[in-house]
Amino acid sequence: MITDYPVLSLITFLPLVGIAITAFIPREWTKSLRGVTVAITLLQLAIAIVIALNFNGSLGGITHAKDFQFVERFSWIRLSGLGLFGNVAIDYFMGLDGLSITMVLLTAIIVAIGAIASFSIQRNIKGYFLMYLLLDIGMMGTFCALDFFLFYIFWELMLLPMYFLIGIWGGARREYAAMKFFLYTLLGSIFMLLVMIGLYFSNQVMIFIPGTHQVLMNPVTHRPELFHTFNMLRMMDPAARVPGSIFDGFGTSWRYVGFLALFFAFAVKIPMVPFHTWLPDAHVEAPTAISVILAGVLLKMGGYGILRLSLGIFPEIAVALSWYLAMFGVINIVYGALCAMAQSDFKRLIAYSSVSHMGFVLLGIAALNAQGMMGAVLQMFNHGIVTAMLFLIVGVLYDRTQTRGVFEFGGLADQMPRYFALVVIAFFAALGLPALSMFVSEALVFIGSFEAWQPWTIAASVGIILTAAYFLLTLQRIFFGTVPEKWSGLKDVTARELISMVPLAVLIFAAGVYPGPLLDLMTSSINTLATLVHAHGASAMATTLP
Amino acid sequence: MPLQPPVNPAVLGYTIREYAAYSVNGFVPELILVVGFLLAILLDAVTRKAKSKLFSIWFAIAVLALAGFFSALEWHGFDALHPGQWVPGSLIFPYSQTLFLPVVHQSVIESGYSMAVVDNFSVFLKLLVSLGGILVLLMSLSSKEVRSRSSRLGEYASLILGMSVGLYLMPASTDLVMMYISLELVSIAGYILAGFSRETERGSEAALKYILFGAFSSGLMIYGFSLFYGLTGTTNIIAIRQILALSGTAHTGVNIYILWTATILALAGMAYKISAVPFHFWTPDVYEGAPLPVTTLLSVASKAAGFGLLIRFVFFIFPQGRQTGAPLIDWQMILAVGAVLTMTFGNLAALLQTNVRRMLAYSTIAHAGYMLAALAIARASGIVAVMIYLAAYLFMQVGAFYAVMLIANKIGSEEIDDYRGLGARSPLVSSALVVFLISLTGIPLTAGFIGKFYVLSAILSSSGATHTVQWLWLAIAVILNSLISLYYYLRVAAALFLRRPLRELALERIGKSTPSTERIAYSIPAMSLLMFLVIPVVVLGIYFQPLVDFASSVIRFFNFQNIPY
Repeated sequence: MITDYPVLSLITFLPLVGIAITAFIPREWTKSLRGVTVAITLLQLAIAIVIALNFNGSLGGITHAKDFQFVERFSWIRLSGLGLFGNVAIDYFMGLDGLSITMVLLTAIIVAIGAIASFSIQRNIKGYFLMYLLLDIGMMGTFCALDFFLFYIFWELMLLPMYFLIGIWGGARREYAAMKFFLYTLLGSIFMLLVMIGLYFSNQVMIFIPGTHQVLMNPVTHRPELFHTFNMLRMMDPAARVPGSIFDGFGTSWRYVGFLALFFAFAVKIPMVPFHTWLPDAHVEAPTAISVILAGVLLKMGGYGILRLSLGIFPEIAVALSWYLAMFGVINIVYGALCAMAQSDFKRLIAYSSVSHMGFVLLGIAALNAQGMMGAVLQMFNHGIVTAMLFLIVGVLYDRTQTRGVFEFGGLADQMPRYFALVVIAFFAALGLPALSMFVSEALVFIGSFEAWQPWTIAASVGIILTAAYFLLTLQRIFFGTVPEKWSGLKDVTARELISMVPLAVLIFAAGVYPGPLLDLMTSSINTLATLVHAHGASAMATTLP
Repeated sequence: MPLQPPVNPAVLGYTIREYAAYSVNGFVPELILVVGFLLAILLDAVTRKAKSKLFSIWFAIAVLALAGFFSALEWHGFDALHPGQWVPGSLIFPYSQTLFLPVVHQSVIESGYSMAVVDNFSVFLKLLVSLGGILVLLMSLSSKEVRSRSSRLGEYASLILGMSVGLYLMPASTDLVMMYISLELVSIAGYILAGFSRETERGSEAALKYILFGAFSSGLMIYGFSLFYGLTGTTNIIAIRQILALSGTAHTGVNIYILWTATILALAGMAYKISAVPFHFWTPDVYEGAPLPVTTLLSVASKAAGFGLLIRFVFFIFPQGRQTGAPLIDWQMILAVGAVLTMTFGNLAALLQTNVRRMLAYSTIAHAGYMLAALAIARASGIVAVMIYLAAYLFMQVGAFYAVMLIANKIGSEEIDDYRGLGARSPLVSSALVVFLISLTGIPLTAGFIGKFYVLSAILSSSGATHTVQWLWLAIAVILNSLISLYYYLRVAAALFLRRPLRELALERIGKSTPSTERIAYSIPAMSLLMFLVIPVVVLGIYFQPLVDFASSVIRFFNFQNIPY
């Protein structure tokens, strides 16, 4: 059985093998450097698919430790008997449930696509791929980790590679964009660190002696030895709280503070307006492959973090503040769309469309029912695929012309027919055409949020119209009309570009026509999460999905 | 294992004189250093050739290693809750758990208490000092600033040994006089070392500034100490504590205003040693003017010993913080405010620097601030956090200075603008420097993160059993400051990897082809030392259990009933 092997460690640390190999390849051997990374990421994708095929969709996860699959757990740090910081237990604890399996799958797909798209990088290829693989470890690990400490380490591990990837291989204002990205994300994560420490002092558990079912006893008092732990599942468990600790209790003001600080870290990542200003800069300046990674995976960490940690650990606060969450979701949708409409830079336009699309994730989460949250997770997956494709599309044009001005083009539909076809698929998916992937997720989000927050949902539908407007306008500007003189020699997409984009197009169709398998992966986890939230007073539509 | 009853020297039947003779055993590491110091002077006097002068550096390394080895032998074990058998021979003068009892034992009074103690706390810091000294001496081997003055190498090595004697005694001393003497020993050696490159303008300026500020603040400190003596009639800090505690209940004797004055004056001297605001003015100039190895020694070893002295002073004299029945000196608030000022000032000033060395100098001020913040909570966990931070800081700060020195040796500059494009010319050194800087920022998978993590844990752990976090504002100050520090540390990384050299850009502008960038070659010993410094920075970031265990056992010098933890 595959579950007998440490597949999650394998998929997370496989890039380390790539790093080790890459480090010994001379910097002139560009082909082997590219080949190693592509091979590693494809292997990762294969493992992810195998994991998904062996994944049992009927197990819930979320707060139930037993329902996690592919679990690996080893004690990493044990400090005991000191009474200074309490007994400390940090585990190497990895596992998957319905929330994370979708994200792992998405990460594997996007990373492989990004590796192929990285062929256009010309300068210092060795350093580039080293950083790329390092980033890969951080992303995979974040979605697999079930220990907060481990999660935090993976979360921060992404920052430095991303800084260099934007800063060295980016566009004209790369240094500014990279610094802004780093500072913003660190600002969020340092608050997460404080909450993490607070949570860790707020819970206490008994620990089993490894390999047995015996509880570790204190040799002097002959009582079970209590450990503070970073185990996320324990942090969600009200029974494990230390009485009187800061995050003890129910709906206390400290829990509000904790929720908000934790939420802030994720809101920066999503990015939620008004913490989104790093995103257009980072996306525009980053090289194509890195924009793909940024939009495809990194933004999802925000949504994933809210679902897993904010909702899991502070459910009653999330319920209490969900009205505001929905409001911010709508602001994201509408504001992002309006900003996108005002852009003349193609890449900036796509970046703002991400802001708009991620608003649906927020709105879906704010609905706090199974449909809404499922829509949110599915939207994260679909947005990852669609936006990756959109950035690749921008990359195609930019590689040929070194410009991204929407108004500088025209009439490319005849000259680049294959390109046009791909663009049409991506654009129509992004504006939510039925039978394409994003329609399903946006519909689910609306179904869920209409039950919970009708006014906000109606307001959000304005965003749909705006989205259609700016995508159609862009299509018209670039592809219809006459071709300007200087672009008359533009070539259609190459084989390599097709390899990177066609799979995404296929996925867009597949997930739009038959989203069943994807939904099956997460249904029971979403139901578990919805039940947890409803137990804490979410009023709207207490139904779970079949 | 149940708690062992404390063993009192008088019970063992020693006379005080026998005891004093016996306790020389505990003085072995210091004796080694003193003998090594004298031999190094002799060696310097009898040698003439540059090669034999170089030998004196290796000699000093050996002496420091030997002293470190002997102090490691004095380690009392790891289990903090079970002090175990007290070994009389390992003490300089009588010292035992009984010293914390409210009734002062007669024999202990007669011995005048102790001048210094050997406990896990001092041993830990002695080991840090030895390691720091050895690393600095190894660093000097490839330092142009030091090697170019080859005729004075013997003097240099012997001064470092002399300084180490003081550094060994600083965290161990339990008597105001001993504290002052050890601190002065360090300072005087430091003055000469800071002026090692005295021919240069900056070198002589550094030495002069260091002396002036040093003399001023040690004057303040000795005045504070004399007030303590005047108030209590003793110079032993444990006795002072007991007398203050008695006067609190009896409402006699101690004038609270004088006590405040005395405390603040005494803290001034220590703040100078750890370069805390407002006694930091000497730091940037001295760090810039002194040879880089000396700068490293001052910023690492001297700071560690300074923190040892500070911890011993505040925790022994006012062990219970705000809860004390003794005259209320709110030293916690002094340290907390000092910490915030120190880290904020250090970081803001570092933001403005264009010289990497000067920037690092200001950032060491900020690091002192983080550690002070952990101390301000007056808990054993704060002390442990400082110990962990100091150990992490040792490796990353020495590493950063070493990388800067290697680069300066080759390109002859420490300006950030001259670092442009170095990432391509010397990738290994640049990457190592980035690792050290990231660690100094406190980003995970580096030792610096563990240090910061424990500092924050200590600050937040002080909530006790209520729904409050008393020092939350201190924790927020620490994290916001780390954010500021990221900006200026990243600027160096950006210069190394992101920017193109100014010369290249200028050539391009006038249409000339740019010369191909040639790699910079470094000597193999230099590179191996650099890699040797990277390893602990990364490994401690992944597996920090031994370090934390090690650091946690330093609090064995506390009486557990009196210190909240």
